[in-house]
Amino acid sequence: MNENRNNTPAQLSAGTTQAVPALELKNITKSYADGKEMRTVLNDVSLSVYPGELAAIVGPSGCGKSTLLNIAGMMQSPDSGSVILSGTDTTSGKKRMGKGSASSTKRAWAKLRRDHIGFIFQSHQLLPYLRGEDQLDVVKKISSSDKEKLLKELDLTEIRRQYPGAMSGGERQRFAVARAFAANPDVILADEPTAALDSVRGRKVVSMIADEVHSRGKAAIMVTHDSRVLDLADTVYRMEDGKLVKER
Amino acid sequence: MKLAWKELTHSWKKYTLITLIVVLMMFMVLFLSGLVDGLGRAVSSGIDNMPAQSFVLKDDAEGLITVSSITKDQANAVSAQAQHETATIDISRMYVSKSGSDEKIDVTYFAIDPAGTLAPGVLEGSSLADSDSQNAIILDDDFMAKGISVGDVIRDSSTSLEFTVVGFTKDAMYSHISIGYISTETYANLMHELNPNYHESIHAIALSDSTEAISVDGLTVMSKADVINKIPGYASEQMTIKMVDWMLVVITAVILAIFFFVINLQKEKEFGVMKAIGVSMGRLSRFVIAEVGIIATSGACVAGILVWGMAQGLPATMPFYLKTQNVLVILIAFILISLAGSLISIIKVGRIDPAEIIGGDN
Repeated sequence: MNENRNNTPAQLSAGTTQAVPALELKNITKSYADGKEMRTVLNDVSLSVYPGELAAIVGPSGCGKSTLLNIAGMMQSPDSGSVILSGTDTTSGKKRMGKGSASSTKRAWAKLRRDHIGFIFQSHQLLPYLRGEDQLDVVKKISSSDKEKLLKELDLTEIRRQYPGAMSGGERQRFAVARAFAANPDVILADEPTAALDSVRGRKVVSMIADEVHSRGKAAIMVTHDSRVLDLADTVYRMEDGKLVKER
Repeated sequence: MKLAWKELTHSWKKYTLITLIVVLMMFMVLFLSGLVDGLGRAVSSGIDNMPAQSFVLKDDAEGLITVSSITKDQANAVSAQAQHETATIDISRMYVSKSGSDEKIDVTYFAIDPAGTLAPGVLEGSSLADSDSQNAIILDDDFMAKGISVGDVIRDSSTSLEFTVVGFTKDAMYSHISIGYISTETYANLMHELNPNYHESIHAIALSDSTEAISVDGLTVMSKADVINKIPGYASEQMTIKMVDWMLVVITAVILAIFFFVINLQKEKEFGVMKAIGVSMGRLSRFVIAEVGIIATSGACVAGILVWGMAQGLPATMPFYLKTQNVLVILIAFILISLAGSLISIIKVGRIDPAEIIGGDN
């Protein structure tokens, strides 16, 4: 199902019959002031992820992966370029978070995140005071049948009543995965989901993410430097010095 | 809100301690409030408890019943004009002693018509009207604590006139001194003993309806509240303690706000995650407000119950009086100020940048 994996719009229109990308980053540039110099973290980066695709981005730390994820996740705005979420350009009309419209932009972004994006963070980031199953209701209240299905698929049914404090690292991260999928987003963004796990558990979590992505037809970007899980990704990009290059 | 409740119950130890602090502070506030009202009552209850709405006084008395003086003719004019019942009242501060003892006890005589509207309710013994003793007196129940009981004879210290205690009433104080109710006739006897040239005059006339329009030369009508305010010491005493009390209300609310601010600082990452996954600022604000609201309300309620319980056990001589209305005003004001204080936490949460949750490599 993942035969057409391209990140340039030209090839896209030529070769595929597939629907529009769930998430498309076009010519993203982002620089930061680093002392007196400006450091370009993202240099003309373009990336398209389609429904049913798990894309992995690897690269050394400091290469701009997190910035890319923040821009894709509607938490930072690019200096130039556009972020197209399910066919809608989210950057048009608000290139930057101008001072006057900061709060309305923030509000609009929060809504976009709530409706379209599911996040998986480095360490689980579950709320310590909620039982496992209640974590799934934080973003949106979900139906109990959806909840049952998700808990079953991630093998969490037996520990659904536990608090994060009583769970193992792998269990917590699986709940974090469940939370990301719970609100039925179009795009999943995972920030080093295996960082806090050993290789066996890390692989289990990523394979579960891959399974969910494929069976639910979601698009996912996973930033990682765990090369042992790259075989589970449908496409792999390498990021170096602000440039994104497709590896596979 | 559900989320707030779940957090409070999950970290119940931490939040119970904070609630405990709120309870203690509010207990102190309410206790002080009880003392304000108790002291106020110790000054005013004799007047406050009267079924009168306003008082007719001499117009140069400046609201002081004890220095007012109304002639018989003026009094007759007042009762002729009044549509409703009127009653005369004389107030005089003296000392009494138990028979066979030289110890002087403060007393404020309230001279009234035993059959009139100002006759006090009787807690024990009989009323002035029902008693056939000569020079009967009804005392505030404070005197009970001083070892006086119904049937005892007490002596006015300056005249040696003897009264027979026929009954006790409660909550009868004037300017910190317990009241002894006597008939106007007994009062006249007393005054004659004190000063053979005494010619009868009246301190004040109580009106039982606030709409009475009385217009008699040399007299003025004052509301009950004004008369109470004019009792020496009343206004300044009330103001001082009330100010302390309200300061404490505000300080408690500010302490609670600071506690929550610090707690929410520690939860910065949690808030960042919630913001990142798309929880709206409106929901986060409600979350913070709900937590503060739950703690402030439960703390205030527990403190209210404790103070009420303690008030039941306090001795009668303690100047402590809980006015339900005042307690409610204080508790509600505290809750509202606390909620306003949660705003600083909300502003802080609003400034958290969700982008900081991801990575950390830039």
